[in-house]
Amino acid sequence: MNKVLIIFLLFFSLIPIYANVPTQEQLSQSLESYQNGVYENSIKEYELMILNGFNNPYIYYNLSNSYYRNNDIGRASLNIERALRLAPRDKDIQYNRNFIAQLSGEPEQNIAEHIVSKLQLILSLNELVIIVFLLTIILCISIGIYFLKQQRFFLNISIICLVLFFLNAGLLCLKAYNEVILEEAIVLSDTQVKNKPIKNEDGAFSVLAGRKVIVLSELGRWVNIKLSVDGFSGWIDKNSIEKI
Amino acid sequence: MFEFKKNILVIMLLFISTVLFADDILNVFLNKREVELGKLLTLTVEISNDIENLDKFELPKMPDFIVLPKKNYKKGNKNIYTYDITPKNIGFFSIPSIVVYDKDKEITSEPINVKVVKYLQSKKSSYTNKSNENIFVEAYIDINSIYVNQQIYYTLKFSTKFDLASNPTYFLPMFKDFWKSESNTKSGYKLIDGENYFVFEVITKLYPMRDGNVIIDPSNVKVEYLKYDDVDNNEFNKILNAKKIKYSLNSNPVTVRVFPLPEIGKPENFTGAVGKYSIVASVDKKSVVINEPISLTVQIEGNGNINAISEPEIKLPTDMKKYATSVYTKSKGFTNSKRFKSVIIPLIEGEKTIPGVYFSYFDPDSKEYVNIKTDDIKVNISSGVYVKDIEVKQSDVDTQNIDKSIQPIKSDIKLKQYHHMLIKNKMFVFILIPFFMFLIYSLVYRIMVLYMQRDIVKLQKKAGYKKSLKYLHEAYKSMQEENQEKFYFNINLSIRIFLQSCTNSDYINMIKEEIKSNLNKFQISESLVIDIEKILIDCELFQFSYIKTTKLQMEDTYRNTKYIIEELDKVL
Repeated sequence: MNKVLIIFLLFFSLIPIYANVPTQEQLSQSLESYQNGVYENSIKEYELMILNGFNNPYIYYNLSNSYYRNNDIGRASLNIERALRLAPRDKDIQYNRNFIAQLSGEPEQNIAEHIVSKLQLILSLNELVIIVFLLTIILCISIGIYFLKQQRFFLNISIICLVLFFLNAGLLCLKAYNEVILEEAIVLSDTQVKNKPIKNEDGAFSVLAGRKVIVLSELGRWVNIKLSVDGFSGWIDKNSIEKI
Repeated sequence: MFEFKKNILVIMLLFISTVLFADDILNVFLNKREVELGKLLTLTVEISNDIENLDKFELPKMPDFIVLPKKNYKKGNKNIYTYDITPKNIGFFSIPSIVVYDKDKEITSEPINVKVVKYLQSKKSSYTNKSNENIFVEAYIDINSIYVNQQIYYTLKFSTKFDLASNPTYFLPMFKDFWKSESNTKSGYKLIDGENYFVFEVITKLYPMRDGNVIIDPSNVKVEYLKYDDVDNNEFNKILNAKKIKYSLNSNPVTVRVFPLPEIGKPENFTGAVGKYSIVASVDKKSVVINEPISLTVQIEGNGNINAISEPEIKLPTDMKKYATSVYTKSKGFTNSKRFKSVIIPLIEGEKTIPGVYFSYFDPDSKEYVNIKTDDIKVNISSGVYVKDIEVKQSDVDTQNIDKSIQPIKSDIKLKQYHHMLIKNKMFVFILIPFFMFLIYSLVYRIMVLYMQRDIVKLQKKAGYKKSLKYLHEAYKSMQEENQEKFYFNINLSIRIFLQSCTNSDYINMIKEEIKSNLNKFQISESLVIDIEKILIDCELFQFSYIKTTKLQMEDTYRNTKYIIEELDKVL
């Protein structure tokens, strides 16, 4: 059993993490800037940590708060979405995300969309990958031993694992579709969405900063987007959005 | 006689000269005299170059038409002016006389009458698409001539006299040149030409995105209706025996004439709202202390594309600070509303005024831009300390001043690195390979064990049963062909093969007495043995003899054999 544990630990240690973990001093410096109302400095500090490869939901959360205080709703929304993807069960992150989404004019979801978004808050994509991975291993071993030994105990484990596997794999597919396959982005500033990718074309409708959109295609400096809830689509300048 | 001819010639010459004169100075043409509502007409005015004051030429006012200049050009000694004119309503209208002046002389054209109909008679049949008068579908819009971004209702109407087996399924077109809002459905019974029809309607709000003639492709409706048997008088039987007929119908395409919004008079704050709107502004408190947040709500309500409306500019005095605005959109029936809720922080005491908020839209009825404004709001700001109702840390003072909704910053962060997208890490797949190999190995092992432990007798019996059924099936075919020899041959083989597979004795070459004595060794009922013997006797008798059996007899033998095989399968 110990050997198995060592193998797992060895495996997870093999997953490359290239990051300069910031020091507590750096962190307290950015907090101090925030408390003194110098939000630009606080933003700079957090952005630097992220630029060095540090990936932490609470850094994104604090960065989002700093942007919000600095009246940049677009980037506040972008960073709170990133935080939510890493820590979907955190109540504060959920709360701020809903608040900023309201500011950015996101309409209310219907019941089906609400259920789907609630399901996505159960586990993060990384957690689901690890759970599905471990369940696959347990499933292979238990079914394999059952075939060899024909013991009822392993059959029961296999059935339980299979049920859990399908539940988690379903959630994983849903999450992977939304976070990997669908390219989601955030509108950084209040913008007019155009019917055609032409500079002088009249705006078809306007989107507020912070609104979540789905990127459908790209054409030069233009991006074809679709609003995430009400489904309107149009063309927008590439620089006015940033992918989550 | 000669005098008479001369007079006629003079009259004719006079007439020709009048016509030529009229042609030379002013000619007015209209390409059609009868037109569908929303369709385009071309008005051509030809004026001679010779007349003075040509630059002062103007079309008379035509309130019943939308007039857009098309092309002006010269042809010979004539100036030709063309116009696109679109009728606004159904009825009889007149294009008034056109007047030009030549050296103080007034030259007037004749007025031209135009008939405007909803549908031209010749096209009506294709529009209603009454492929079957008991069931038909049509599509129409409430207004045929509109402006860009103006709201219209597209209705798909399906009517039938038949009883439907299920609800109709409808497929609306792409509406590629429109913004599409939600669709509503309604259904019920209506009297059409004195007959009761079930009517199903799908109503969709549309907003055109471009000008020009826009065609909405046909919609499709799929239904399944019940066709009753007219011969049957019993109502209950009629319903039970009703046939379900599938039917697919396409609606007519619909053409919309979309006009661009006029550039003249377009206000600076115009953001594309077309329709009729109203605006109201309100505050939650009119008396506050410094730093106490005031919630300012600006609500725009109207019957246009509410998504095209962005936040109107709020020009606050410098001693008031505005923070982020939250937006709420609501759609109810014919009207849509958008609410902009902003937080305002007063910084200096005194009686302050929140100035009225301006909003402009294009009214398609009056064909002009309308600028509306809310009333100014007076707020009394007194000096004092704004006390928050919850105790907060110093770091959150700013947060609480703005609003209480955002959660405070996190100060006790564990500096733990989270993985980036583990799903893209291929190492997981490589790690799983040995586990899958183990699973495959164990599966192969299990199959091998099962193969080695298989019950040969049981397998033989199973194979024998299958073979016997095959012969029985052949016998059935022979029976249908009334091939007596082949039938009894197959029946004989069917029984013998099954017995052989179950008992492991060579029953194929045994005579019936041997079979009987052999079967008595097993726990088979005497009656079943007698039945087997009887069938074997029949086979011997009828297979090679000239005695003809009837099909009825063969059927009886076939049924008995089937019964025997089933019974033997249970016993042996």
